[in-house]
Amino acid sequence: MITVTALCALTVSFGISAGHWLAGYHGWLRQLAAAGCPPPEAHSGVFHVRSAATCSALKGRYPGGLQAAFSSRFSSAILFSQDGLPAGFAIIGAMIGAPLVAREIEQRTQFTAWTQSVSRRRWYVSKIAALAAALTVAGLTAGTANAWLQHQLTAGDTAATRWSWFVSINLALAGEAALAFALGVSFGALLRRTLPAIGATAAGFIVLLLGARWIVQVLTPASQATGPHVTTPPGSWILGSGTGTRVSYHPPAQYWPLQLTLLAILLAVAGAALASGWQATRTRGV
Amino acid sequence: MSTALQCANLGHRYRRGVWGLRDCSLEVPAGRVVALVGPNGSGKTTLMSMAAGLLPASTGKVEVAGGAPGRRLDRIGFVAQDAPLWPRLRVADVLEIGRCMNGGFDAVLASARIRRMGIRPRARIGSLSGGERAQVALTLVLAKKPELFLLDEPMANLDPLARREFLGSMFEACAETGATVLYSSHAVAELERVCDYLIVLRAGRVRIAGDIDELRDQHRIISGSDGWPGGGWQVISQRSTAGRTTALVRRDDAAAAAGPGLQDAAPTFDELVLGYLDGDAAARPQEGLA
Repeated sequence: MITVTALCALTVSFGISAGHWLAGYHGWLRQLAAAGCPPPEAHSGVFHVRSAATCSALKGRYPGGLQAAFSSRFSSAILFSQDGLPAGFAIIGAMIGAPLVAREIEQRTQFTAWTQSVSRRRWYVSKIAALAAALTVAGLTAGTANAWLQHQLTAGDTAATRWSWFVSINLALAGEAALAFALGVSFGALLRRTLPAIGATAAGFIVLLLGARWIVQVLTPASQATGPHVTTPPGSWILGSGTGTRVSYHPPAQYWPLQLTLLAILLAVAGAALASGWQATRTRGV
Repeated sequence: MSTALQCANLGHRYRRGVWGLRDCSLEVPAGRVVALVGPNGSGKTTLMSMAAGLLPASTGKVEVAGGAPGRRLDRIGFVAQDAPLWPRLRVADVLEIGRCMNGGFDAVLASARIRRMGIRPRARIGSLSGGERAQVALTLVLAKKPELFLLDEPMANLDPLARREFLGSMFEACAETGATVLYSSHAVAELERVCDYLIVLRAGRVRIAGDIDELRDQHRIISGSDGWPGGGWQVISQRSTAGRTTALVRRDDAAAAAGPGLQDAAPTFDELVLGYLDGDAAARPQEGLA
């Protein structure tokens, strides 16, 4: 819980600093306009430059243009938001899930735990249920925070594409937390050793997440926009600019259905993992 | 008299194809203190684990108090070898676990016993000695008040005084509640003082099982000079030293004389157990008359 809170705090701090940076950028744009200098993206046009020296000094503040400057300043924040949070939850889920059965067997305490008056199945379900629920809620919270961070990081056109954030925000993060936990429990019950189970969970998580994302894209194909002047509906999720005349995108109305599909797939795999973990616990534990 | 533990052709095959227990048929009456004796790898732990519902039966079946062990968990008190407990928990926490996971758990008895042992309730299990940990595990099962105690070498780590105290507690529990105790151990000598039922295992099979007094009546220790015994005796095991052969024999006709030149005596508990541990493993297992 401490880790998750720390992650959320980090997310929020990143978001706030991104907001400040963008506000600073807009202030700079206003300064440029006030000084009569040409705006950064303009390639032609007539401007009334009051002082050439002021203009070149101002221009040096954001080298390479808006997107390049932003991504170099916030590279760690972007990495954290896109890959760090999912990876963090994968590790947290694995480290909480793997020892549940594996450590009991490593310490031989299953001989005590399974010979109290509670049946083995009730023991397994009780241990799983509370932790799975808590982790999923944590994932949802972090996912919501990350969605806000993503908004901060991509507002004002500071990023070329928002699609790379898709698996790290909102419902997707909740599903990933559940999946990592379920894989941890399952591998722990199967391998009966905590550390190898964590490793197997990490590997399995990456494979399954990429697979789930691929399935989502197969089930809901992206729309195409072509033409000399490519326009997409506002708020769309652009997959990539392709050759410049053809752009793949998901219209904004598809966003939540896509998230729900991904969540459903992740939860289904998690459920299967927990069931196979139960089979291993039931038949092999001793 | 009801049966505390019943096994019918019970067997368990481990993953590598090794049989831990085979053709085990037992009927242990309720209220007995059973000595389960056998060398390492003879199947004592396998038998106990199956009776506690930890291992599934590959062949045959096992019943505790008339039902499958999985359905009788509340009536079984199991302590595995080395009394494994969660090392990072405190003693008080472990007793709390016992209270939460068992209905009818006598928490007052448990904490009183812990205090009497001189074990601090706030101590972590990992910091306790092996003997103290064994006492905590035993307290856990005593407070559960089961009908069948399954104790796998529980006194291995206890000092002589603790052993005597523990045996006393076991006796009390049996006397008050009519519980049955299954006790696996190597230490044959101290078993004799408390046990009234014997099961000898070897190589995964039951060699003999029955009431100790009855078994002693059915066997004789006979010794004579070399050349003896001839045919007609049901020899369990024999041993020759310095020209004399001593044998443990089973005799259906208690009145039959041994014959001239032969010494004849009832076997002690030791001689009975060692005779069955020592003999030919291929001999047919004998069921004592219940």
